[in-house]
Amino acid sequence: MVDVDGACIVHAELSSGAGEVRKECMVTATAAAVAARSEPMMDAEVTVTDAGMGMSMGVDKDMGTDMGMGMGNEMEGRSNRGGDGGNGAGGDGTSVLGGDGAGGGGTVGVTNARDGHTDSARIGPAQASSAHAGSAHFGHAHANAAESRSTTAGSAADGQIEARAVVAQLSSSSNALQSGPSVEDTAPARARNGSSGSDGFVVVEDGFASPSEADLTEEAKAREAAFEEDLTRARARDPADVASIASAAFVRIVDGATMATAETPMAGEVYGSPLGVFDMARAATVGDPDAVYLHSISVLAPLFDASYRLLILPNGGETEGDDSEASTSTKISFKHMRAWYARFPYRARKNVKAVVMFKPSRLARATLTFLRSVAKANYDQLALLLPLNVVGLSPSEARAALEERVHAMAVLAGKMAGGGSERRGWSMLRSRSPPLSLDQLIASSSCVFGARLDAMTDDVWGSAAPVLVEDAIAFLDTPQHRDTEGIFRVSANAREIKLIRACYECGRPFPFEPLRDAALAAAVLKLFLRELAEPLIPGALVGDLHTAVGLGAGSAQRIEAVEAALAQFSARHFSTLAQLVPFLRRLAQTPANSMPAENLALVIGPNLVRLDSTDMTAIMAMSQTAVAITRMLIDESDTLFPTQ
Amino acid sequence: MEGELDIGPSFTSAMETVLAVMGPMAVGKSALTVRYNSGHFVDNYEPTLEDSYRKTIVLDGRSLVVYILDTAGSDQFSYLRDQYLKKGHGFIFVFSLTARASLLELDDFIQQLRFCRESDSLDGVTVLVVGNKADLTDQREVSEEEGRAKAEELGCAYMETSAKSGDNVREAFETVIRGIVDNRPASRPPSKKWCTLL
Repeated sequence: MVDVDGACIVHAELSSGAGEVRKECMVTATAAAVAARSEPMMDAEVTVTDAGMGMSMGVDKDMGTDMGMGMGNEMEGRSNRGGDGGNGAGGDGTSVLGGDGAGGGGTVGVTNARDGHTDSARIGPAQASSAHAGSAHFGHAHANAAESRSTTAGSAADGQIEARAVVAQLSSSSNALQSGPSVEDTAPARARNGSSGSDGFVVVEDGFASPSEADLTEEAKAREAAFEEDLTRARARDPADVASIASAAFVRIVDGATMATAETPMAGEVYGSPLGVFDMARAATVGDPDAVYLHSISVLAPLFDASYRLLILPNGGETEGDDSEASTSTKISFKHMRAWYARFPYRARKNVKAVVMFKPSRLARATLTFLRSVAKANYDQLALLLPLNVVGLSPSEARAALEERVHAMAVLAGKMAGGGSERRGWSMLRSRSPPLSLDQLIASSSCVFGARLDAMTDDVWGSAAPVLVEDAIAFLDTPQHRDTEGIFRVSANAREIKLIRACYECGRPFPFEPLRDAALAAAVLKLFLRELAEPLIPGALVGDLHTAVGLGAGSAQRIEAVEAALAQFSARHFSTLAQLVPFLRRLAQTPANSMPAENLALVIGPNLVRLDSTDMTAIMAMSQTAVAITRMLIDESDTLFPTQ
Repeated sequence: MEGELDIGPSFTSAMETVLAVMGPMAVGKSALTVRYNSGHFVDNYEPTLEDSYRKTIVLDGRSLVVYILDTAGSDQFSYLRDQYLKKGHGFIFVFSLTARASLLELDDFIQQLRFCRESDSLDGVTVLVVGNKADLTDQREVSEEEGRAKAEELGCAYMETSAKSGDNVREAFETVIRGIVDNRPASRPPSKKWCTLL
């Protein structure tokens, strides 16, 4: 999906021949795998680590809709599946198995349960029983699940996670409207079994049951009228206002026609129903929730009369609590999204085929999962489901096969830059050899991490600092990310860090922007500094700088002493420091991040010196020295690095 | 900070019970430690380099001196981590129930612990996995089952605590201390004697 930042949605309509039953599969880029039959898509060879979880839904017209959420823990060498679920009851049906969790992983598979087979329904017993209690079809699926060796029962976790709440809200509100005569036909989608789905993606599909107008409650009718009023109000806005809000480009429609290009001729056929894309981060730049709402409905309204899907890109980085913080009044939160969806008219909710929430920061890891799945899947089906936008590859074909894969990973992971040859992407994806593990790759390369600043080649060294440092700072040094609480302190996903590292090692700078994960960018930057072959503050000059710490803050002697020490830095060390320190200074001056200079110095300082002694006391002493020096540099930044 | 000690030479002396509180950054290690030591909740947002406390406690009728090491969560201190992991008698691995990434990061600690002990079994070491910030129920990202599963990987116990409310904090520390004491070969002096006789 060329137009969607950071997200790739893969979509296919698997035609059923008869056409009486809708078949629609959505796979977000959080992960994807396809299997036509019950063959496990991810088995014991899979080495995706971390907890994976997710939820999934299957849709089958005969049965209504059901949904399972599951959670699993995929450990290296173990065969647990990520979130797994769905239905596969008798009759034609397609289930979407979803998996991905905050940790990242999980798998998504799309299985097609045709001809009464339930062989694709690998439903963990836990979610099975709750998502589907009372269904006559279910016994079979359940039994099948028990046999499936790769199924992990979704833990009946009681997560109270934002995304889950949204699911529950979305589905319950749609059910409220669908109070049709046939309860069986509208088996409600339930977000039970709450494995937390705060990350990754969430698929909610509803609208398959079609209660008649007569079944609409009075309340629903009132809502309908209110919505029409909203729409009228939206259309009566001042064109100047409209233009200004439209420039934020936070909501748009993407459909097959816009997808089809010379490079992706299949898009039109494969793409399916149009997609409304709502980008919460961009919406936040508008500030006024009401204006955002009015603009969204005026843009999206044309979709409401026929099948469509809705893709929501949450604000990256934030995982929870954005409803409760007072400072977020201007931030578009899930609370807003829920409220707005609740205001959508009956027809809009009837026709929505899927609401997908996708967290861009999970993209990288998701893609990895995706690639790993490729080796096992049915290639023809995969071809249908491939993200049409993420096929660009580096033109440098001469590189070793290993590197090539990671290039592809980088390209896929990002969708990013776009461009490149589709053909190459396809051939790579069809190749059977599995990608090299990230650890192996990282161990085999040290052009970027673990290199010497002074020895870096031109493509690694940017204009005034290493490319990675420039990228990370450019990303983090924005009002939005400077506000991140505990920036440089809070954890980031270790696997994502590795992936980004691998991308940089392969000469594929990884754009942080689409990931929107400040913690991740900060962690990568810290890692880079820590791994430098020669630390940013050379050991020989630590003593001089430490002496300067003892001199009066802001005093001429101190500045003089520091400058004398800095003068002995090599040009690149100095230049990198001159990029880093003023940036830290700006962070320290941002109260919202709770990281004043002393905190920043504590978490960053020890990365700037050599700490590899085995003597604990020595490490401690050196760390404290480094913290003190860093603190001083930040405090005196304006004088020491005045041009910034 | 009061009660702070130089952990250098005294760290390994024989009769001490050394308990290290470890885990990723910003999960509440210091808050837990301070809560246990002094009974109040510190609400400041300050990363720790390292603090250590000596506390005399009475547990099950026995009086014990416990060193509690409040460690740095920062990833750059993995060198230090080795030292803690080699020398500590018991560990509290803390993650935050409100941050899934912190749970995943515990894997590194677990691996490192296994590596340091050069064994997959953790005989002789007492470990407790603690999910902190249990009071922030509306921000919770990790379920009890997940926490428990992580503890099971290590074959150790799991608890959920809140440094803010104080829930389970004392229990968590005492569980580990009790484990260390029970693990300790209490019969060492006699057995030594016996060996000498041989």
